[in-house]
Amino acid sequence: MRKYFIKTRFNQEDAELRKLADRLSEPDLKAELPETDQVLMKAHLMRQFSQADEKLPRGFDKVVNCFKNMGASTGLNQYQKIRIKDRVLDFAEANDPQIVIGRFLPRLRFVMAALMIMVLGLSSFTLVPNEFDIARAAKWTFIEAVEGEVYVNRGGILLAVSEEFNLREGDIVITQDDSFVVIRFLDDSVTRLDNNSSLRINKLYFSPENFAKTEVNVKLEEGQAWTRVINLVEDSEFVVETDDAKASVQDRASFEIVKEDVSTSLIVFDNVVDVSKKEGMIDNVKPVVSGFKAEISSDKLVASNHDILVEESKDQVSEWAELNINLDEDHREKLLAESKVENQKVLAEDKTLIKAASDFKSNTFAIFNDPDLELTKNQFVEAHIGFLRAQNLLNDGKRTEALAYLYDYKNTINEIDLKLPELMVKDREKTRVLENMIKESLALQRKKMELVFPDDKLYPAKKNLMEIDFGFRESVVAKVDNLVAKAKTRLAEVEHLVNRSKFDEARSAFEVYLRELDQLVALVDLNKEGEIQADVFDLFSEQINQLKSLNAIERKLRFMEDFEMASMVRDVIDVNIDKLMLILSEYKDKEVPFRLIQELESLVDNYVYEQKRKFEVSIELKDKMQDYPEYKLISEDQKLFDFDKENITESIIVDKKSTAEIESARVLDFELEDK
Amino acid sequence: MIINENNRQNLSGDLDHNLIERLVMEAQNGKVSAFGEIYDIYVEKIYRYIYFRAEKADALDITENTFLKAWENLKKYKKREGSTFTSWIFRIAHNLVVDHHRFKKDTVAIDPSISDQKNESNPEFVTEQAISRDGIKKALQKLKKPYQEVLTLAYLNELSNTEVARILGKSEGGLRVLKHRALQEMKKLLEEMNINY
Repeated sequence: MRKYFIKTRFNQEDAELRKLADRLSEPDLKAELPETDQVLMKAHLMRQFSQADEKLPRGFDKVVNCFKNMGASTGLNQYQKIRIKDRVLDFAEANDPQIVIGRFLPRLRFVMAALMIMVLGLSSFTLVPNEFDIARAAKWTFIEAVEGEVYVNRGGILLAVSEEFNLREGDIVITQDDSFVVIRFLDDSVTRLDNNSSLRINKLYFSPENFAKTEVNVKLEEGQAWTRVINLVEDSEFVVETDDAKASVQDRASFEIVKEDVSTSLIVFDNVVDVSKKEGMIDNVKPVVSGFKAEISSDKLVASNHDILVEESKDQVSEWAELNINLDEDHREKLLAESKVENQKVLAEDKTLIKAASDFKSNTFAIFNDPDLELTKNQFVEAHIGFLRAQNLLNDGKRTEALAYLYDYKNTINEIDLKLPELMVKDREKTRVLENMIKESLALQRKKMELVFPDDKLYPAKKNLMEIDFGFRESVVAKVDNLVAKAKTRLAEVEHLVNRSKFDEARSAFEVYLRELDQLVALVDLNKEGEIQADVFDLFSEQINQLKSLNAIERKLRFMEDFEMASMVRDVIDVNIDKLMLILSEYKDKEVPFRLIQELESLVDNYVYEQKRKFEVSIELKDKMQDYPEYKLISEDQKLFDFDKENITESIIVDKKSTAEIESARVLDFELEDK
Repeated sequence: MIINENNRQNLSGDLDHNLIERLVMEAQNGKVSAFGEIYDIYVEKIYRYIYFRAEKADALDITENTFLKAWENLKKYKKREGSTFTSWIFRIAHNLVVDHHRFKKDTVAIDPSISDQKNESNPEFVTEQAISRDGIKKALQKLKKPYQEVLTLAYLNELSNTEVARILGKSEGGLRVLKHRALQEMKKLLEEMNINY
């Protein structure tokens, strides 16, 4: 065993090191440690020691620490890593490692290296038009706004942050007193952290095949956060976890989440969030719709429905919530403005794009070396540019000109869709690449357009996009998915219009929704024995989600006193629930997923019949009370019960003399008091 | 101490050479997925090494070329006494950086800008430390190449002394001397430039 010596200055620290050196010469690790740990610990001590004798003179520590911090904060983001990896592995697959370039020709080695740098540098123009690169490269996760003291813990190093600080998986964002931070994610969603909070970034993922499909997972370790999830496309997800709970969004939502000592609470302000216990024996997911809150306890002994308490959020909207609701609207406008700038940038470079498109013919890395495929791709690129121009024109109020471009865009894509089978026969693989390129472009544009509503200038562009059916000719499942996506978009439009009290427009949008829903139902019915059978339970799940959204819309309509439309929505909910039950009964021989049953039960118990029952009880009570004008109903907060506001609470105080007559009041718990 | 997601590093922070050698053998037999894993292990370190020694705009390309070249020449690699795959791949990166400078006929220009456009392929900065860091980058640029290399590998990439020594083809004792001199020179430069570190 080698003996270690240290040249020391005879101070206290050196004495410690000397003792360590003596011990290391004959390591004496306790027998309690498993052997593998002993080996690892010994290696660790040896390493510490070998660097300990490099004790740096005064002042060097600071320089070294600065270097380490620089190193820690330098690196590639996931997009860059994936992009390079794709190219490297494509190259590897195409080239046998036995090929040795320049082994006997040293000068050729230099020339090849130089050529490779040039060609790979140009290859950023090759496979897809620049606009897609801009769209992809723009999608980082970063700090959008900071107030006060905010830090990021990265691998144990605490870094002070400012705006545009890029975040990675594993980072923990920490706010101090009187501080606030806004994190913008790669899917355009935002999370806002209140003071004295911390949030860990667990996962930031987008699919390399389709950049619009994203998965984000964060953990609120302590404090309070508001999250606004923006219009996720199919198979995407945004999850906020705590030690107790998991809140998951597949579409869009706004919600507030607070981590307390032994529990987590969550209030939803827009759409739906699926909430489940973090640790549990049962896969127990409860949907929480807008206007409701959930409390999740961390009692690990019991895992059941009772651990997630969902109830109507009766508290007045807090200042924090109001602030964030306003900031959400600002964020939407910001995203629309960014999209506008992005389009203008691309249009300014459109000559380059067209040129780059034609350069594909001569570029050895071009994937489309077939003239028909090249032509088709160029047609798409030009139509896409026209679509961006249309958006600019709409923003400038030039609707008629814009409509011409929109018409061309839709027609071109429909034509390409018809042409694809013929191209497939010639070269299946490359045609698939082109098809996927177009699909991804459409998905990205649709995601951007989700922010646009019927009362926005850009709405004709969105409407145009929604009317395009591309790539569905081979698959009924794809058609069905497309119709489901349209229905969801339509519902979001209805809710937006209701929120802005634009009831006439909301009604029109709702009627369009109903027509599209009928198309969907008809398609499913026609093909239920066919290929969609395998996906039928996913469809049910989607339908349940839509019913939850409809519930949220109905509640808002009642609150805003448009009872007529609320009744329309109520009828649709009732009819669809009945239909769902009927269809499920047809599948009694098949194993219906437990989660689906839970979702349906939860929907019916917590939202549908409860609401319906309360509404019906309210009408009945109101009628009966008219017969007893000498009696008053008083709500639990001691205010006079206001039937017009439908302010039904769980307990209503009534005069005990009237109890016998007001039978329907027994449905709810009444507390009695003398008048 | 860092343990990455696939436990490719042990508790002492060194790379798991047994795993790496196994992956290299598989890649040499044509298994592309093994090379993919090698890429995952090294990409950040290689990028960091190149980033501080070449222009930002070229760092990504040179990183990519390093792996392409590594694949092309993989059959030439053999594990030898005093040489590992780590030192081999860093050597490739080093050569490409040298070629890059020769090709560009330019000295390395480190962009001192503090905030980066989020549309470009740029690493992030810590604003609070930006002033010291820019100064340090400038000072790094003024150092002799061997000093630049050792500081980049040892402190920016946090490779162990053993690894750095192998990459630079030095003994560990010689490496310590080089590190010490590099830091002394760095400190002197920072003081001359009145840079707060």
